[in-house]
Amino acid sequence: MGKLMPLQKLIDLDELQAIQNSFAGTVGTSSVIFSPEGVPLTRFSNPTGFCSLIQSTDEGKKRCFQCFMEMSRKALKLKESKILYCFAQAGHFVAPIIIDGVHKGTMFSGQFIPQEFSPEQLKDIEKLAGEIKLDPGLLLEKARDMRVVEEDVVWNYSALLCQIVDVLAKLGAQKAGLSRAKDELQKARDELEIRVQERTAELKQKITERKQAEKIVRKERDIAQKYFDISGVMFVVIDADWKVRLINRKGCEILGYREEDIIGKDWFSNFLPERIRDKVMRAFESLTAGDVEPVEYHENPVLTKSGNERVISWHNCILRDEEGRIQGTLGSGEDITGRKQAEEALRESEGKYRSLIDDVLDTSDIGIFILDVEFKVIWINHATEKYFGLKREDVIGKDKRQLIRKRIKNIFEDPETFKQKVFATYDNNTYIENFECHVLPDEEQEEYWLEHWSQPIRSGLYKGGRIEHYSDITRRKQVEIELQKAKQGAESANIAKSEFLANMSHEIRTPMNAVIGFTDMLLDTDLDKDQIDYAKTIRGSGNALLSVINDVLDFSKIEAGEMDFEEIGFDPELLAYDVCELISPRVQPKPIEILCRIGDNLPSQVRGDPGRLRQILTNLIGNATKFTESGEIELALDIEAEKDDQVKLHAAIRDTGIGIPKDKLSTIFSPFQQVDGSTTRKYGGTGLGLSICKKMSEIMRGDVWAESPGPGSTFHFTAWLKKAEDKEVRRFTPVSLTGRKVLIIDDNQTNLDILTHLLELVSMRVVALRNSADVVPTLGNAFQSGDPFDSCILDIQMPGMSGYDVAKQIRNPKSSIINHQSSIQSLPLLALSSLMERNARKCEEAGFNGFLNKPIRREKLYRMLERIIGEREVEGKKDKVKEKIITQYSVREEMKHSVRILLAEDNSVNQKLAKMMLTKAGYQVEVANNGKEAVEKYTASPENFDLIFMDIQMPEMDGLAATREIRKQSSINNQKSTIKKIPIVAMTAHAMKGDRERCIEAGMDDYITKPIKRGLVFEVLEKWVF
Amino acid sequence: MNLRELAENLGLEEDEYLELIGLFVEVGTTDLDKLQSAIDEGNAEDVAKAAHSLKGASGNLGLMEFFQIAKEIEEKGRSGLLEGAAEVTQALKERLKAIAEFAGQ
Repeated sequence: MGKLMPLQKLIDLDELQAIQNSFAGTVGTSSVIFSPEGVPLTRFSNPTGFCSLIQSTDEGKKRCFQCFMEMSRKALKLKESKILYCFAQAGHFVAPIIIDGVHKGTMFSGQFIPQEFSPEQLKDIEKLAGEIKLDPGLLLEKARDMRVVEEDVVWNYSALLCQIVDVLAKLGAQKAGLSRAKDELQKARDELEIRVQERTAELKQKITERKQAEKIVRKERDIAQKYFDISGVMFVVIDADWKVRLINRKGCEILGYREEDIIGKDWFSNFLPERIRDKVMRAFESLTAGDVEPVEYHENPVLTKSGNERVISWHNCILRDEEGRIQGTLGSGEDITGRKQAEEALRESEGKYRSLIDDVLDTSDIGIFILDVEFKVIWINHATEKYFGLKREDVIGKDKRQLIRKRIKNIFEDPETFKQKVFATYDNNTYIENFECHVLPDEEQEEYWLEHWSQPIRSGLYKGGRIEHYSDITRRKQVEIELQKAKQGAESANIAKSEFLANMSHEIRTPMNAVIGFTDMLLDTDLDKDQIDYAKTIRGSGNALLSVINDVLDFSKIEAGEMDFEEIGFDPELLAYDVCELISPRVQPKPIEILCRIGDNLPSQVRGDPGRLRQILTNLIGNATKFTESGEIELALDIEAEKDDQVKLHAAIRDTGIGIPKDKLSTIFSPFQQVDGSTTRKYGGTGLGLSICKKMSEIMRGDVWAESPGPGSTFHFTAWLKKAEDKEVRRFTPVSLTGRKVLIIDDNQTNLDILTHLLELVSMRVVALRNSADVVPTLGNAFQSGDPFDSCILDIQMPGMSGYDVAKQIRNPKSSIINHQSSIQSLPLLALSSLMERNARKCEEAGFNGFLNKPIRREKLYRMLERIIGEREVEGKKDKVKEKIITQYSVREEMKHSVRILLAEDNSVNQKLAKMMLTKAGYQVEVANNGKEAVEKYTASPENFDLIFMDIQMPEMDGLAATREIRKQSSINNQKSTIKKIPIVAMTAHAMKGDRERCIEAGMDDYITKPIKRGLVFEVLEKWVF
Repeated sequence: MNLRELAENLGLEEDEYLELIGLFVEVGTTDLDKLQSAIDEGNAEDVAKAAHSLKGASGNLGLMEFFQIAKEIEEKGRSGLLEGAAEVTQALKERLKAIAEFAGQ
């Protein structure tokens, strides 16, 4: 310590100063102590005036100081005291103060001269004065005053001072050392004090912090504990010795022990079922050895206190210390016992359910394919195995289409279409319409017919795949096939039935024809009254029988649904008249008047089946005749409604007979019903007629019904008929049949005989053939020999070549046999047919000109022949042979429609009215405005008119006069009497007796009253023209 | 006068009947003129003739009232007593006019 302290610290400077002053005073030198740095530690004691003066100037101070420094340095270097002389020639005792080896300062005891200045010295001083800007004299003065001190003295005294100083210093040093030690001690004590305080504060802080930390930790631990404890998962910490270190509340709960009973116990031997202990222990060992990583998840049971097992799903993790050494495991486990049980139950029930479905599917008859998106089999059932001859195990994963291709024997439809259909639906992922296929599982087994359904699976495990069903429809198919056969059988039975009916009708009619025909022929011979009577009776019975047969055959035809209807044009008015005409003989003995009333709106032509219509009307009127004793029977015909191209015909047959009880009004139309059983006996009849009428009317979309308000009854009949488009008008020229040559063909000899007889009656020449093949050659030969036939009459139903065939052959222009002889080609052909056949159209097509039903009525036959032969006559050879066929109706129709009437009437209104009316009825009308015109028109071309209606009162020439004139003229001109004289009918407003006579006298044939009515006109025409 | 009934009675369509009415009116007018002249001249024969024509036509067409009157006049004509014929003729004329209107003439 002392070493380091500066002098001033070691010695009290005041003391030093005192010492120094004493010394200086004693010695008479000036002393000062400097620090080693040159800093004066003491005040100059006893300074000389000489040095003071030098130091009074700046220069001097500076040089002094410099010199001082130099001297110190020197002294220091010497490390001992020395007397040095400064620049000013003054001597200085320089003594370093060294304490403990350390230079602490420098003492200067100086400013003396050892002797008086020499003159040289004084010169230097003088120079010096100049250098430092002092007055030299002053300085010399001071120099002389300088103390003279012997060196030795200085030396000794200075050394003494030094010693003193030294001692003092040492003392001081000690003192300082002590004091320093004291200070340091104090300082140390202070520091200690501070340190202690600091430490204490620190510790306090630390304690506080630690307390806080502990609190946090505790809190967290509490939370953790809470979680730990509320966890639904059990936590177990097991250490390396297999002991339980930690268990949470859940764990205790699961295991059934209290916590203290678990902690510290061996886990494996206490809490695991025996059977798994070894396994788990081994696993644990590997785990804790670090050999394995913990398994993410595993299930193991634990053993509870009560001896039960709970299944736990574990997750284990390894616990390591700071050095990474394995300390044990933490396992977290969830009690999945419940879940496991549920799973088990589910599996079981699923299994049960599954096997139920499997059973159902497997026992089902429906073959099922479950296919994936590529048509590979996912599953099939037993039925599929059976149908396709497959085994489930073999086909899983295989392409179904390949598998069954061979098995499908035939597809119900064309295979290409089937394929396309199928694949189209696969593409569209839609349903396949069911189709049927014929499957053969393998060659030996029986075949199946299956119905195939396919639908896409839209969701779930097999989405995109398909479920295909095959139902066994073998039975159904068999039934279908059987049904088909049965149907065919029924159809052929039906056909057989129809053929039977047709045959029957032919077989029955033919002899009937003979009976009736021959009876007629018999009546033509000379018979006595009785014979005539008997013959008539036979004929009547024959007709009755025929009508019964017709009824029966008609009825069975209707029942068989075989009733067919003709469609040809006819005149309904004519038909009605025909029926009435037919009926008249039947009422002969009884006082009954037959009336026919034609509605004015009845068209002259309609299209339908005139035969059937006639049949119905005849039946209804026939009934009327049967049940009426006296009075009248009226047939009224009119149009009830009109629609598009059709008209509804309405016929009402009114009689004044016995009437029908109200309750029977509908039953009489049922088959086999008559009003009562006694009716049959009294009145005869099969009871079929009305039901047949009803059925036929229904076919014509009409109806038949009866009213009986009394007395008598009215039967109504309606039917829809088509309107006729055109009305062909033919010119009817009556021609004589005498001498005409006719060829007749029928396979039945009887028919031939009858026909021959009829024709010979009118003086025709008849050639009869039985073989249709002979027809054409016969015609040819006759032609060749110059005596051709005028007409040919053919039976239609003939074996071998039928009538149609013959007709076609004759009409065929290419027929080589005919040899292009158009006269043969255009030969008038007449067809004869059994009533059952509706053949008119067919005959027309075959090329016949005329058509008649058997049995034939002779008048009809004659008219027909006249017509068809006459037609050809008038118009010469025709190339065109395709004409509308003439039926028995059409003959009359055409006659009617070709009737040309000359109407002579002066009143234009009346004329117009009459013309309208007559034209509407189908007649051709020409008018004359007065008698003169009438005569002129007629005589100009008499053959053009069939009848003249002559008004009586006309200007110029009245009707009577005109008639007379006409009669006169015709008697002049007329040679041939084949043309009858023209009927002239008067039109008068009144029919007084006198008028009638006058008309007859004038040459008129008849009269009608004005205003003229259609029905009357017809009557007249019928009378005089037809 | 029911057009449909009248037409139906004759078995004609309504338009056909109307045509006839038209003609009747035309001719009837002429006849009426003839009748009038005949009455004016006092020619009973001509009166009967004209009336007869009118009678016939109207009767045919079912115009019965007209018919009756015409018949009356005809009888007058035939009997030669033309008294009151003029008035009746007037009635006939009016009748005809009514018929003409009815037919839309």
